[in-house]
Parts: sequence; structure tokens; C-alpha cells
Amino acid sequence: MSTFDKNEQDIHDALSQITVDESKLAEQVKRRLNEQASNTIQRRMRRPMTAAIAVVMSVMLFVTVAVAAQGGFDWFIKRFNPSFGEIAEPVETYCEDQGIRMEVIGAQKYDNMAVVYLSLQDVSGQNRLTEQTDFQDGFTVKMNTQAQEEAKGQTDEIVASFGYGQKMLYFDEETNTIYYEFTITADADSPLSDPLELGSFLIYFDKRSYEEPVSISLSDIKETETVSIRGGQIWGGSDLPDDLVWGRGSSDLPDDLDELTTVLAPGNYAPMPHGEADQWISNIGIINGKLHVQTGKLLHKEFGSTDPNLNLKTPDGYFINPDYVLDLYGDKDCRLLDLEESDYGDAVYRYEEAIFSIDTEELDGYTLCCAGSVYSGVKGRWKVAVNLSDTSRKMRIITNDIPVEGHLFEHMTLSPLGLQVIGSYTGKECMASGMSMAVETADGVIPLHGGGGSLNSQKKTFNLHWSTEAPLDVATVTAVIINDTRIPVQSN
Amino acid sequence: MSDTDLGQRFAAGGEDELEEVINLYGEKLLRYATAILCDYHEAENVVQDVFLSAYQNRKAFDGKNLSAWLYKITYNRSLNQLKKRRILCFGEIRAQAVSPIDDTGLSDETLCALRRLKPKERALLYGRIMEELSYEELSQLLGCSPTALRKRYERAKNKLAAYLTAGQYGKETKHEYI
Repeated sequence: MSTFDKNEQDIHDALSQITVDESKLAEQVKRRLNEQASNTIQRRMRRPMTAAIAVVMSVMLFVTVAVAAQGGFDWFIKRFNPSFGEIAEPVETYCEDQGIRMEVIGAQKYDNMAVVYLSLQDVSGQNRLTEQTDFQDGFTVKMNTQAQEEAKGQTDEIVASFGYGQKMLYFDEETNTIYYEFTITADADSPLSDPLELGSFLIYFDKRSYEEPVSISLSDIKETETVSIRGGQIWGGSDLPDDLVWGRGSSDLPDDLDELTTVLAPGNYAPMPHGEADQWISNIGIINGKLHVQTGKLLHKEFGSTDPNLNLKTPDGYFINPDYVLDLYGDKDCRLLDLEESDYGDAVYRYEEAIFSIDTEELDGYTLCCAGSVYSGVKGRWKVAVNLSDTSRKMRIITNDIPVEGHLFEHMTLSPLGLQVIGSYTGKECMASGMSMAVETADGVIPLHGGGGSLNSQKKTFNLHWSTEAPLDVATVTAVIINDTRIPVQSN
Repeated sequence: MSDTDLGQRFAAGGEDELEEVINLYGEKLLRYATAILCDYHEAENVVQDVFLSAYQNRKAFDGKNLSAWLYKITYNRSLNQLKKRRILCFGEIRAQAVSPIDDTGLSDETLCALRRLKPKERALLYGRIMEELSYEELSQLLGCSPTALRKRYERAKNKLAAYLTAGQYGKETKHEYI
């Protein structure tokens, strides 16, 4: 730019102040490069080492491994007769970490839809798995696109997404093994990798829900130690009153962060009903005639207690919810942090303060109750790559640009697992996912279910999928029926 | 040596070529990422990731316009980093918006002003004013038409200039992300 106007000159001057230290950059990048190479070698070495350790483990583990070894793909199909068993290929590949073995028993993949039969087994002998065991947000499926697009420098608009349905087929208490069926669907712009690669970085063992009274007598509650805080020390909350509201539901900032309010001083008043050490009743007291109850919780934990729901049980057995709840965060010394001075990463504790408007003179007979859940689990690294045979000949692809009620169904892929559709729409909203979808075969009409996937409201495109209950013989499909529109499918 | 020469050697080369590329582009990309992210530590990590990713994917790079390729990866990675940072809780957003700075070469005043812009506006202003990129080049980088970028640039420029003049505690409080 040859000449700057005044504004540009000011901006140039301001941005010129950015100072950086690139002197160690090359060294840091090369070190990370070498670390990655070293990690790859270590991972390759892990399996033989695990096997060597397993030899010296307990008799219990020996029995467990023996049972698992007997239960291969054929045994699994015969034992459970799963919905898509007839189209799955045997895989029988596993990985182990943290004493948990994740095994892919069988699987099949058709373009961007896949079915996977997978088991988890606690091979450490601790029997940590339960019927509640779940991957939750730890489950991962590798996509092809990200690395490819990044090489082209085009990741900006790419959103790698996949969806999955998870069905527990059986929990074997004796071998502490759970068997699952996963149906996985990915978007066309972020296709499933080949080989199919599944993994997890979290396994939740158990979820214990509770709804119990807190062992605190409310008749003795008096005024207690409080602190005055600025509005900036309130990080969020629910049902906040007008004088504490700052653009609720939006990211607008508080109008006045300096306005003071009074809350309970964080402490350690009583244990929670669940008895876990990661959460406690921090303080309780009466402020301006209202009952305040503050809970404390350790932050930055994958597992443990969820945020509690507090309420008051009246002598008549009715429940009173708090008027509002404040979210506060504390540092390692339990000092309440200010938004203007601190980041979420600085917080060690999270405090929730529930405020009840009741007659505090007559708290006799009221009971403080608490409900929530406690999760147990383990972090680790489980990953299994699955080589499957080419199934492209078992799919039928229809590219007819069929218009249906303002939606253009441009590209449809029929596979034994269901139907994937790529299309576009002209109206304000995409209604395709709510459309009734079915396939007509020589034996009758088979309804499909689902309609999940992704929408791009800017480009007005959709990428949706519908599943079958059982393998679909695509060779027998004569038409796809979308709402009342019948789209004939040419025979191959 | 031209950008294309180095690009082609990088695409076919090893760690020596990587170091050469880092020495040539490291500082520029660090400044660029710092301007977008308003966080020097994050920018350092992002730029390290950029070079790692570029090196690991160099076989897929055609060797042409290394500079544009690296800037594009940096831009994408910076936006991805901001998406990771984006947390639903209001408080965390607020913390992201105005947490004090102790580790960058930016003055608090500049930082607060920059943070009131969208990341894409920051990338646009930096590219145009500091890198002197044309609207056509920016169009490739930011994925927008040159005409639209020209309008967006004028708006962003006037906004940032006003924020810089108003100082750290200017009146505007609305923050938008990505």
C-alpha cells in the first residue's frame, strides 16, 4: 500500500507494536517433530510389552483372556444374532490401555455409513465396567478430509462431522465385558477414513444418580460470613434477577461490572449426600432475609460430580426451587475471581450459590435436598484401525436432481445400511430432515428412520442420512419414496 | 531465492528445508497469528502447528506460492483455535474478551481495541496494512470476493481506528466471534 490515510497510519503504528520471539521456533518445531516420531515408535512397541505383562497377571485375568479368546466373530454372531450381523466382516482386532481392552469384533462400511460390533472388557481384574459404561463424548471416528484439506490450505469451511447410534447388546458380568453395536454416519465432505479407524480417549464406567436430603439442620441457620463482590465476579447463572442480568442469552457484556452484591464466603460447611470429595456444601446462611446455599466443586476433572440441583422440601412434602443461582469461580485460595482479571483456566473451584425466597424465620421442618450424578471413568488412548473389503458394488448411487417440496435431492446413495442424501433447498429453512422416507422393494415398502446429518444454511445445502432396521438388499429396491413423491430407481 | 524455488525445495526436502522456511516465515506468521488470536502463547502454539502440518503434508503441496499456503494454514488454524476457545458460559466469553495481557508485545490499549473486532476483520486489516496484500490476494486467503473485502476493510478500519482513539474503556461493549 503506497500511502496510508490517518486511520491506516494509526492502525499500522498500533500493529507494529507486536513483538515476537521467533529465535526458538525452529528448535521447538523440530523437537515436536522428533517427539511425534518417538511416540509412534513407542506405540508400536506397546502391544508386545502389554502381552508380556499380561503373562504375569492374576489367575482371574488369565481366565478372562481365555474366555475372550474363545469368543470370536462367529461366536458373537451366533450368540447375539445382531441386526446387521449378516453383512459384517470379521475383524477381531483390539487395543488395550488402562486395563481396558477395546475390540472391534466385526464391521462393515459403505461409503460414509458403517456398522461396527465392538466390545469393551476390563482385563485388569477390577471389574470396573457396568451396564452404565459409556464412551460419551470420548468416542472418535477418524475422518479423511481434515489432513487432505489442510494440505491444500482449505480447512476454513470444513466441519468434520460424524454421528453415531450406540446400542448395548449385552453386558457379561462374569467376564466384565460389554458388547455394542455402533452405526456410524459421516458427511460426504468429511468421509470416513479408510481403513476405518475408531477410538476413544474417555471411558465412563458408571453413572450414579442420587436425590437425597443434605444432612444439615436448617433451624440453626444464621447470618454467616459473606463477601461483597463486583458484578464482574458473577460468571453466569440461571434465572438471574433484573439487577444482575446482563444480556441473558447473548454474549453482550454486563452494563455495570462494578455494581456490588453480597454472596456467601466460600468455605467447607458440610459434605454432599453422595459423599464424594470433589464437591461439598461450601456455605449456607441468610442474607437480606433470603436463604443462600453455596456448593463448591473441583474444576477441570473429566469425571466426578455433576452440578447439583438444590431445592427445599417443605414440611408438607412440596419442593421449592431456588429463585436464582449464581455461578462463581475461585482460585486455589478460594478467592472469587473477577472476569476482568482472570480466565477460566485460572479457576480451581466452581461455586454455585442458590438463593431461596422463603420466610427464614420459619425454616424448622424444611429440608435441603440435592439431586445430581457422579461419574467414574478413566482417561486413556484406545484406537483400532479396521481394514474392510471394497463394498462399492453393493451400493446404488442415484444422481437425478429430484425436486421435492422446494428441496432438490441431488445425490442419493443406497446401501444395505440405509440412504444418504446430498441436496439443496430454496426456502428459509431446510425441511428435508423431517420428511418421511421409505424404499420400495419387490417385497413391499420399507420405512427408513433418522434424517440426521448436517445443514449449511449459508450455502443452503443438506447432507442427511436415514437408516434401516435390518440390511437392505439394494438390488431389490425399485423406488425411493420421499413424503408422497415416488422416485423410481433404475434397475442395474 | 524466489518463493517458488524455496516452495519446491521444501515440498521435496527434509528438516533442513523446514528450518529454512521457519527462519524466513516464522516471525511473520507469529505476528499474523498474534494479531488474529490476540494471545501470544496461543499464537506460538498455532504457528508451531502450522509448520508441523506443512512439513507433514509437504508432499501434497505443489511448491507454488509457499507464502500464501503458509498464511492460509495459519489463518485456518487460528480460527480453529478460536473455535476451541469459544465456550458457552458467558463468563468464559467475557474472560476471553478482556483478560489482561502480561505476555504479548501488544499494549493493553491496542489489544483491547483489536479484541473488539471479529477475528476475520483482524486478519483482513493485518493482511492489508501490515503485509500489504492486494484484495485479490486477500480474497484467496479469506475466501471472500475482493469487492466484499473492500467494503469490509473500510468498516473494520474505521472501527479499529475509533477504538484505538477511544482507548481501553471505550463505550462499545458488543463482541462478536468468528
